[in-house]
Amino acid sequence: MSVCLLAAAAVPARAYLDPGSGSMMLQLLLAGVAGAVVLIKMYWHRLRARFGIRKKGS
Amino acid sequence: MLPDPGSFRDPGNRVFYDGERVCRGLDSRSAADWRAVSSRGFFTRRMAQGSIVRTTALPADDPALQGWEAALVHERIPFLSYPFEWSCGMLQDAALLQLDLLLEALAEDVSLKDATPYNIQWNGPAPVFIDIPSFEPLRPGSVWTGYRQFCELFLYPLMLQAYKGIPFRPWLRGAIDGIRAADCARVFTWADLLRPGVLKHVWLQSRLQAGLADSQADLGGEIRDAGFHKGLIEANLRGLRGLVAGLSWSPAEAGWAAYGGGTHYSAEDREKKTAFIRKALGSRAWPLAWDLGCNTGEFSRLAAADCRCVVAMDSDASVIETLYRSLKAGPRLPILPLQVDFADPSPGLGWRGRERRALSERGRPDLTLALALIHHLCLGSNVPLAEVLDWLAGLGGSLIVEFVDKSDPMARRLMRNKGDIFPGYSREAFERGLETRFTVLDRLALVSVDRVLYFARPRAG
Repeated sequence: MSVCLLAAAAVPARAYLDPGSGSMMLQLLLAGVAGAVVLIKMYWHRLRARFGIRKKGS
Repeated sequence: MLPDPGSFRDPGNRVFYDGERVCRGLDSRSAADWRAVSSRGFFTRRMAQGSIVRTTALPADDPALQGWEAALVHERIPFLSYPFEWSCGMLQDAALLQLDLLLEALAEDVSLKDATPYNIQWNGPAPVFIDIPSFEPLRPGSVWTGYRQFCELFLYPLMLQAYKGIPFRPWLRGAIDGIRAADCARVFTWADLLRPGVLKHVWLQSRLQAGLADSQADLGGEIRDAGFHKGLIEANLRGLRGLVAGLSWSPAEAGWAAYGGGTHYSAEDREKKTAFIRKALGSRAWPLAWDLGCNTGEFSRLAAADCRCVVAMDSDASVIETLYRSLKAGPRLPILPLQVDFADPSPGLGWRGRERRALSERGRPDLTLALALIHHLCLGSNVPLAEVLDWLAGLGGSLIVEFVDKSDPMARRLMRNKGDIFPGYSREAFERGLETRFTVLDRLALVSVDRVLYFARPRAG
């Protein structure tokens, strides 16, 4: 189910440099309230995916 | 066409040398990025200022294209250097350039793929960004790919110097990809968590990296889908800019030898020495000069009038920091200050030992100044006199050299705890060895100190 969610993600990253998972997450925490909003939305998407709720349009 | 052995990490482009031209082949994606980025306002403005290397596209029928979709030709950097040879101030200014470029690029929806000081070189004391294909159109919702690399290669080295007094050069020389967050975190104490940036950029990053090391999730995709946008990167960049700009250290703390530029000379000898060196310098034009043991840079400045580039090298970190600060504050001179220990110069590093080239493989000097250096190598580092002369001759250029006799106070200082264990070190032996390898054109014996200056050119063949 989460696969369905992730499949909706658009272009693959194609970065020659690995940004590091921990360092990517940290960028949300460093961004204050705006970053916290993104973080909450991310976990909200995960929760929806766990219960089989697909993103709109997918 | 010679490919640059250090230009392989991004498979989308490759630097190669076509005679004197420095070219860069681009694949179709990198060529499209170049077309999208090269006309942006920030890019043309920064290139005009010289903080992005001046670059033009080669015509489609140029033979240098060799199957690449497109190719660029870059203005040649006078002498390549690496962050483990820079002073703290140089690494700090390179970091600020990296952050400023990304901030300006983001304002025009352009990003940078990476954040490494190896993408920055120097025109005299001015940093220049050289890796044009690092610029790419911003992918909406993507995080800053280069953040971790920025920390490992810019931020942690500067923090270690500023907060703990630990020189970053040996560490960067031993770790081409920089200082890992986990390693950096081990250096800091709990009290250090109160210092700006340590808790967030070091400790928290280290913990998150450890916690998510085995994560199989497509975090980049999830973050994008959750609404990540460039404003979040810009907020982080502004914070990092303030943090980096606020890091400070005193050159004196790093142990400046306070050698003092030879204050023990009489005024008359000082004048004679300067006149001798000025006369030798004026005998012809010297494209590249090395000033070995440059100290305050007094003679590098003299040489700068007759040279396209002077690489001013010294093993003392404080000397290089002080010289960099004075060059930055004064009129622009073509002098590149580098910290180099001549008894242990920078070796080849990285993949096959060729990714970052050894000092001697980055261009040989047309003129070498070795003023009051040889006694440090022979009496301080115990290098045999003949080997020092072989090394100077091997550099291939002409030579202005000062021989310091054992009776000189500075030489005696080097031997004070060793005693005289150097029977082969004498003026006679030096002159014999010099004349075997060079043709001596001029010499000057100073009166107030036991020192002799020589101007010599290499023997043909």
